[in-house]
Parts: sequence; C-alpha cells; structure tokens
Amino acid sequence: MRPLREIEACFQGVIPGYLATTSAEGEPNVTAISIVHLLGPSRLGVSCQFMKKSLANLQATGTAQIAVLHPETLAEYAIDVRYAGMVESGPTFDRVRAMLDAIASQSGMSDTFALAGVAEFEVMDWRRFGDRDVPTGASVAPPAPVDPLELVAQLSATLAAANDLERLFDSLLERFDRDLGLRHSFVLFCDDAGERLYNVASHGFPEPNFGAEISVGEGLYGVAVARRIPVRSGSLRRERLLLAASRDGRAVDPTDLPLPGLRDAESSLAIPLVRGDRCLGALCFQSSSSGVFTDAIERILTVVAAQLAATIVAVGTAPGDVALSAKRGPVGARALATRVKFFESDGTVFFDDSYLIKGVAGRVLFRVLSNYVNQQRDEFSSKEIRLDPFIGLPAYKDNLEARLIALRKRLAERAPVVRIEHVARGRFRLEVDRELFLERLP
Amino acid sequence: MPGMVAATDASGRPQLARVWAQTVDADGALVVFVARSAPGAFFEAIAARGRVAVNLIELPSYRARTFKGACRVVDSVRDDPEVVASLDALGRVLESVGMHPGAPAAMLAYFEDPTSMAVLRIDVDAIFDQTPGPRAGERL
Repeated sequence: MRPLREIEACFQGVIPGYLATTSAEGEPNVTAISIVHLLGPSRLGVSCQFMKKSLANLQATGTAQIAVLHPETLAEYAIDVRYAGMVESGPTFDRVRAMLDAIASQSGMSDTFALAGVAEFEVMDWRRFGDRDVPTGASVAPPAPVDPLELVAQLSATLAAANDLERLFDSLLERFDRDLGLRHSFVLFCDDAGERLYNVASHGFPEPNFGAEISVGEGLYGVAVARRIPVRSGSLRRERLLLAASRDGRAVDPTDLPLPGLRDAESSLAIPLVRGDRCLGALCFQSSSSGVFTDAIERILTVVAAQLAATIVAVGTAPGDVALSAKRGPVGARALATRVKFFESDGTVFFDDSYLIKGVAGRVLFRVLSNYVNQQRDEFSSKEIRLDPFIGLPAYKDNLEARLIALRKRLAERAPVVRIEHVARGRFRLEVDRELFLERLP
Repeated sequence: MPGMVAATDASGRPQLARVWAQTVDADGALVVFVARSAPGAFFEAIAARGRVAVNLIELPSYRARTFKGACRVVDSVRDDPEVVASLDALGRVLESVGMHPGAPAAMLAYFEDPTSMAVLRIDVDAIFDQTPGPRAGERL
C-alpha cells in the first residue's frame, strides 16, 4: 500500500467526504463526514456526530469504506478501512474537538456540532476512482524544507538573539515567509484577564489591522488558544460563506476591527504560544492555497512557538520600565488639527471620526495624549501607567509592552500624525505632528 | 445535488460510487446515474445483494437524506440530456459553496468514458433524515 501522505491534502477538511458501512445483515449505509483526519501512516480518524447507524454497523462488522476528494486535483479516492475503536479522550480527541470547535465557531454553528468521539480506522487499502490520469500541474504545497532541523536551528538563533519583542515578531514573520513560504501571518497576544486576544504583529496582509481583537475561544485562532492545541482549517472559503450568510443584513460596528485576513483565504493554521500553565497567544497563518499547512510545517512551527513563548516571557519580564517621552512636530505641521474622541465606556478612540483602537490600548493612548495636551508633559513611565486607575491594568501580567507594540503599529497604520517611536529596549517617544483637540465622552 | 451510493459486496464490504444525477420515475422509484467506469466492485456488489443506500445533500442548506431500497442496473446511457443538465446544476450548487462550477466535469475526467452512465433503479423502502442536527438518523 502506498503511503497516505501522497493524498494528505484530502484530509484537511476542504471538501466533505463519505463513510459507507454495512450491517451484520449486509444492509449498506452511507453518510457525509465533514473531515477525515490523518492520524498516522495508515490510520484515519472520523469525528462522530450524527452517526448512530454508522457506529452500530461498525461495531457489528468493523468494515467500512471512506471516499475523499482531493481539493486541488478533484481526484476522488476510495479507502478501505477496518474500525479500530472509539476514542473519547486524549490528544487525538482533543485535537479533533479543537478543529471542530473552530469550524463551528467560524460558521456560527457552535450549537449544532458536538463531538461524541473520534472513530479510528486502520487503512487496509486505497485507490483512486477512475482509471485515467489527468495532468493538473497543480502544486498544492510549498516545497518541503530541505533540512527541517537546520531551519529550526536558524529560527532558534533568531529567537535567542532577541531582546526586543517588536523586532523579534517582525523578523520571525519575515523568516516564516522566506524560509517556509508562509507569506501571510500575524501574532495574537492574550490580554491580562486571559479573555481577549489582540493583534500585535502582522506580515503580508493588505490591511495589517494592528490592535484588532477577538475573544479567546472565538473562531479558529481563539479556539487554538483556549484549547492550547494547534488548529488547522482547509475550508475557510466554505466557512466564510456560511458566516457571511449568518451576518447578512446586520449593521457593521465601526469599532469591530477584523483580524488581518485574505479575501481569498483557503486555509489557515494557529499555533498556541504555551509557556507552563499560561497561553500567551498564538502564531496565526493564512494562505490562499489549499494544503499548505502540512503536518511537517505544523511540527516545525510548534517547536518554534514553544521557544517563542519562552522568549516572550524572558524578554517581557526582564527589568527595565517602559518610558515614554514626547516630542512635538514642526510648528507648520501643527497648524493642522486632529480631533480625538475618547469613549470612557470601552476605551474606544476615534481620530477625526475614524475608529483607531479601543480597550486598554485606547486608555493608554488617551492618557498619554491628555498629559501631552494638558500638561505639556514630555515623559511618561510605565510605572505611572501601571498604577493609573484610569487605565486599569492589573497588578501583574499586564503585558504593557505588547499593548504598546499593538498601539504603536496601529498608529503607524491609521494615524501617522501621532507616533510612538521605539528608542531603545523598553523606551518609547511620543511624536505629535498636529494640534490635538481631545474630547472625552461617556 | 451531491450524492453517493453504497452497496455491500459478497464478502460484506461496502463499496461506494458517486451519484452524478438523480430523478424519480413514473412509478415513484428513485433513479440515480453513476459512471459506467465506476469501480467494478461496486457493480458486483449490486449484483451480489441488490440493496443500496443513497445519500443526497441539498446545497447550500446542507439538508440531507439517505434512501434505502432494492436496486438493479436497468440501463446505460451516453450523453444523456438529463444527466448533462444535472451536471450543470450540480456545478452551480457546488459554486454556491465555493467550488469551481466546472468541478463535476473535472471529477469525471478521471473516468475512461466520462459521459457514459449506468442507470440504477431503486425501490425505496426507507428514508432517513441526515441533516446535521438533533434529528439526524431519524426515519421519515
């Protein structure tokens, strides 16, 4: 039997498959299955939802046939399998459940999908339907790294040399692009309460959308953090259609800044950044091709993510307060004015009626701008920000530096008249090019 | 609509084939079309036991039904207008869920004689709801 890896793209859930079983009396049954999971060289898993008859047949006869479709070549394959048992806990179950939760969350069907277990199958044989070869010329995956260990070693060196989180994120995402062909990536950081994720670094997207937020547990990326398990999806297009249909007609909230995203995204991957008992966030990837995020790529990224999490803790908790100093722009430029609106209820900040950022980052920005406008203060320290009840940072694990990275990048993206410039490790300078009129609203 | 038909072979193994078109004949029997160059094991399974299960999915609602009954191969057709129209319709519904409208033709291109279909007539004696949700598996 040829290795199943040859048709790995069939097991990423791009197109649903089918499971055929037979009863002890020989009565056939067939049902559609959303994802067939490749669990090993000759082992498959099928998530069990709405499969009462199929399971009864499997327990009675143990034999089944699975049909899967290759998302790029559209070749269809028949896989003869033998039922190996039901898994209701453990790593395989957790992994399948996380993927299913992500799909359900993204498609707005969280109440519909409930995983009873994962049926495991031993593959006896597999073959393609049809007897003609069709040249497609399609390449579904980037070339595998020549030497994964060498690549991991190089990425480790990048991590080991880091003493600044912002530069580390930027250089790492650049290397993922150059060395792994992963052209679109971003980093989500978990907030202090462990409830929200916000975007602190972005690479390769038309709209980087720094500071965009989602809830932990929301969508593919949020589920990866909540479950602390890598989550892949090969069917973003289908899920996007379902989500668009469910949102049809609803008003768009201008402060609902979306995460970076490709309009034609086909597949996605999230790798949680786990350190001890904490999940610090996630490395997130998108591609407009199917089958890009292979097991090999996921394994490399998982190793790198573990080291990145350790580096974030080391760099982020090293001594050295964050200090801000302000610098006024040229007088001519300041003849122009920008109106800044701040909403106390949720920390939302608008620049000239355009949404900028909200939450803790919005409060930090408004406090810094208020001090700048009202007191002509040139310097700000992390200590006073941390102790400022207006901002409301917790007494520990406040992620202030990551918040400032998101804020700095969001300003550069959407409001370059105000800049937070990186001066040195832990030191920033506020630069303002215009006259600011601040308005504080309930 | 997308669909699959399963039969059980003489050794008790299920065998699958894709449904490319379906209709109901004047006597109320379900008629489905599968590629004539579908795996021989599938046709041998029908000959051996004469029972099939057909799963059909309506897109984009994902409403699904499984039909079970006695089956026999009654005919074969080539370039049948009903099948051609059904493949066009299938392409359109697949497009509604993000696939290429030419997907059915691309899938059939793997078969030696892609426009040649076997006609299966099924006297349905049981229908089951297969729509994802709490009623999945319920006999209708």
